[in-house]
Amino acid sequence: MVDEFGSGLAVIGKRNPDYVADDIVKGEHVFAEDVMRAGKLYGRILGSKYAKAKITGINTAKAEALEGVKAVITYKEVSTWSDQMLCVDQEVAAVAAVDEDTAERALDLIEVTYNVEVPVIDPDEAMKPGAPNTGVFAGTNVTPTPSNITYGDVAKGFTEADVILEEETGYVARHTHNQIEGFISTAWWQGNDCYIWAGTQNPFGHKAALQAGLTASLKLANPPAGPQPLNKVHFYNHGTGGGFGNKGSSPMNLPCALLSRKAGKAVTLKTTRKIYTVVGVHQYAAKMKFKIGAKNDGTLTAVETTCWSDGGKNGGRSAFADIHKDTWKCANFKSDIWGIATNKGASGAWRCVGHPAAGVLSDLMLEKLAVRLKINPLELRRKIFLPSGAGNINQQNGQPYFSDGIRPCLEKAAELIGYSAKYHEAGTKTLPDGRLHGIGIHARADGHGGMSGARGIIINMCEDGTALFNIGGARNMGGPGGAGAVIAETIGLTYDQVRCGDWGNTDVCAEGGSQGGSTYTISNGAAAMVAANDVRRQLFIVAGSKATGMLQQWARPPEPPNPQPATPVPDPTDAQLDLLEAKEGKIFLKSDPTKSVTHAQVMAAISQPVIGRGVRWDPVLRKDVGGGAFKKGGPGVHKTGAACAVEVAVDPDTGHVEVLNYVNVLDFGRVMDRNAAEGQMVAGLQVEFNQMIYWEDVYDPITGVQMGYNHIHDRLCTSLDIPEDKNVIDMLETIDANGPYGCHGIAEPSVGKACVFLNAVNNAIGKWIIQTPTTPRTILRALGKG
Amino acid sequence: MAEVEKKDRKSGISRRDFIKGTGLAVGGVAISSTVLGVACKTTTPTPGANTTPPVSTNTTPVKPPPVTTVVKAPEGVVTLNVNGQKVVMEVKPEWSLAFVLREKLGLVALKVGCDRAECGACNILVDGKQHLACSMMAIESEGRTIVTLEGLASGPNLHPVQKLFLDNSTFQCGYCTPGMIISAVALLTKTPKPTLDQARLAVAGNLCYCGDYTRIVNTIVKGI
Repeated sequence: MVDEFGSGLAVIGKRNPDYVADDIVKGEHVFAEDVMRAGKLYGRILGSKYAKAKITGINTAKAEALEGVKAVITYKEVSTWSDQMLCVDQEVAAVAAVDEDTAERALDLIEVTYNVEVPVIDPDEAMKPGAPNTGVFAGTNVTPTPSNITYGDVAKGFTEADVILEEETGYVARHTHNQIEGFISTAWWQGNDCYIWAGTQNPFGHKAALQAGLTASLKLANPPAGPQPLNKVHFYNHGTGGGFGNKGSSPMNLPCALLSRKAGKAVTLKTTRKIYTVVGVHQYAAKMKFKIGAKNDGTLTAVETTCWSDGGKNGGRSAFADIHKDTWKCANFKSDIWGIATNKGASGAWRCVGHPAAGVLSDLMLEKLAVRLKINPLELRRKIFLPSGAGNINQQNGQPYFSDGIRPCLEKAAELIGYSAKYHEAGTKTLPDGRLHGIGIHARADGHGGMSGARGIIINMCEDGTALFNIGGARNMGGPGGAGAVIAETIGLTYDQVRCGDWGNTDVCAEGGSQGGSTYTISNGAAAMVAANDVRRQLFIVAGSKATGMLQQWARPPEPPNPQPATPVPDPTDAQLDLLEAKEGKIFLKSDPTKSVTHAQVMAAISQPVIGRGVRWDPVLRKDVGGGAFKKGGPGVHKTGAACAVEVAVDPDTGHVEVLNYVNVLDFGRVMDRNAAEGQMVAGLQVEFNQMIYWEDVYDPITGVQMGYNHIHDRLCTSLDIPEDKNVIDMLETIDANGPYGCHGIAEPSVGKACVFLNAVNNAIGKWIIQTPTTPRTILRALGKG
Repeated sequence: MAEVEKKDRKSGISRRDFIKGTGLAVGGVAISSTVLGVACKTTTPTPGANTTPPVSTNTTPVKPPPVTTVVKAPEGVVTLNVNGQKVVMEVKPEWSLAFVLREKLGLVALKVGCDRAECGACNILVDGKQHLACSMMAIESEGRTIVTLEGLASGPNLHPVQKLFLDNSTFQCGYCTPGMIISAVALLTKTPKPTLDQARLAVAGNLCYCGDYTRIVNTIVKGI
């Protein structure tokens, strides 16, 4: 890895300290549950006992009579709740009390009667003709039509193939979010104004959802009330204890607000670990039937896949179970993805929407093809990946990608782990200690690197020439820091001269969009650049004005005179403004940098506020600087290339897998905030290892109860599992054609390449494990020992 | 106070039975955070300007004060020694130390991530050793010397371990960081220059979902 990033830049790419670093190490970074209000109450949720049932009656009298209980609400009062239970622990009621223990005792006193129905837990059972209906779709448990992508002619493509592989995989495991911070909201009211703090990835999204929920729920109140205006919903966020795709919304905001309204006190509503695992979303379990055709030299002629995705109680499908279409060059492609409804918690984004599963399923095809063709897996990838440059296009619609670092990432990962020297055929290398050696490599290009969404940034210049900005997004890694770096670089201030005034505050910040889908740095960075250019222009006009005696380039005065002259003095042209530059706290003439002024001097010459306003559409450049995918299918998207490689040792007697070496490489376009970037990269090993080796939701097949809902059963790697000295990262910069300063989004590809572990384990044992998790038991069974 | 007994759904034993079995009684509730002198956050906080904090020059490990004879207080009333100050307060027997420290004394740095001793986010120092506050009862904590993250700094001066984490940007979301720092303090107080294995073991009980173990362990190895 290079020693320095941001070549030629003063702020971007450097190790800029996090704005809240001091707060964090002192424990003063505020999370939702830390918000204290006098007399605050504590809330708990009562979940359904049954996976499929209709509530026939509910009696809360005893709970309400318990000393210390201040409010009880039921599904009848919460517009987003229902009397139809579709999974165990689906919300039924909620209690607010003087302490957590009292709230939990009160839950036991709520009497609920159910009409219990037969649930369907297993997705294969759900798909069978005549299976009991899960209640998600009318008359079926499978989405009526598949999500389909087709281009070219797969039938023709298969006739051109020398080799055709056709197989069905097992399931890539479903697993749950299990962040240390669950869903937590703290709410209170002042009159008809609702105030709420919550962990979030989308403050404005939470606010809008809460407003809609309150409007609908207040109609159910006694007496009916509402509607709830949007300007009377005040949503705040500072700390979020891990989003990962689960906190784009929160099912706790609405019941928390309603409890608080009913009790007349602030309430912190916090999910227990058991409730959290259900009311959040789950990584889709998915399996695939594939047919892949190729020439003997590895050229792909046709790829046809059918994927079944367990959507839980929303029956959704993994929209990206076919990500290889963005990566593999193949003119003929057909993909059908079916969503299956089951009586379990809903499926949704988990560090991407289905990418980890998609990666496993895609790589199984590729690894098997490599063996069949007797081609080294690295060579096969080199052969089939989309080219860089002119050939780097979306094969479905022909539009170009702005960036794609998959090839340099692949080569770098191979180099760093020594892949070519260490590769061996599957099941052929035993280490001196008797363990089986395996090596795996994986690379992909992710079209998530710059998605859309409204973003706005506001900058206030202070009288001393420093700057404050507000950003409407939550503090996910890379957000405020990346925007701050863009602002400092563009205005020409040092990083320390720019501070984040507030974030996640929907009262004072502009719309911040979603901090998901790897969009934060690029989309908010784009808005930041527009806002900063707005400020830069205002400052330059003054700095170059002859009237100020500073850089003396044009006649236009700092501010319009009063009265205006008959012929107003024109603004300086873009060409004139380009005579100036700003860097490291100074504004100067490009032709003679010794002629300079400070931002403070410029501000002293201005009597009106200097405010920068930025949204993604740049009015000066007349283009969307935030990603190109302003509308879906727009003129090109950003694509983030990533690769990883891992060496493992598998104990054939215990099935235990040890990571010997791991390499994670990613193309950032441009590294914006080095500390944040490294944090994303080092996380890859742990996240991917967890997914492949440990994580699997286990359900009682009869009752639908989720058996593991804590950090013991849903095992999370500890520091003892991660070989820090073997966790090697590299960050490449291919300079994106459109993103601010050349960056694009990176969060998902940095951690979503878990299939590399399966590739390595299969290489070690010489058998095909075609499902996850790859637990010791799975490995031993594959070796014929279990 | 009306008492309502409700059996735990799983074990058939109520928490109240368990506490009674250990000889403690039900008490009332009182809050005396002002005795502690700790500012409780009662209004919506806003982020302040971030300035580089001064560094504490005190690197001498702080020894806990000697344990004194505990005089049994009236039932439900405990005297807690928290961050060098005595707090006299009434607690309910079912309140965990984590709940009391956070919700009654405003010491919100520790987080209750799991409430079952799995995640380490509620890590504090008790008599100089790490303990999980979610699994200690407040009413049993009398006579113990309790130090939370808030008690590490000396006025405006960060503890050397806090400064170590700050200087090395050793956090991501920050939720597990208080517990991590406490674990690091416990190690580095005794072993200022630990090995990689010692650092790894020291935080083995602290879960980090963001996956920052590599940076955390490599930072701790730098020592103080």
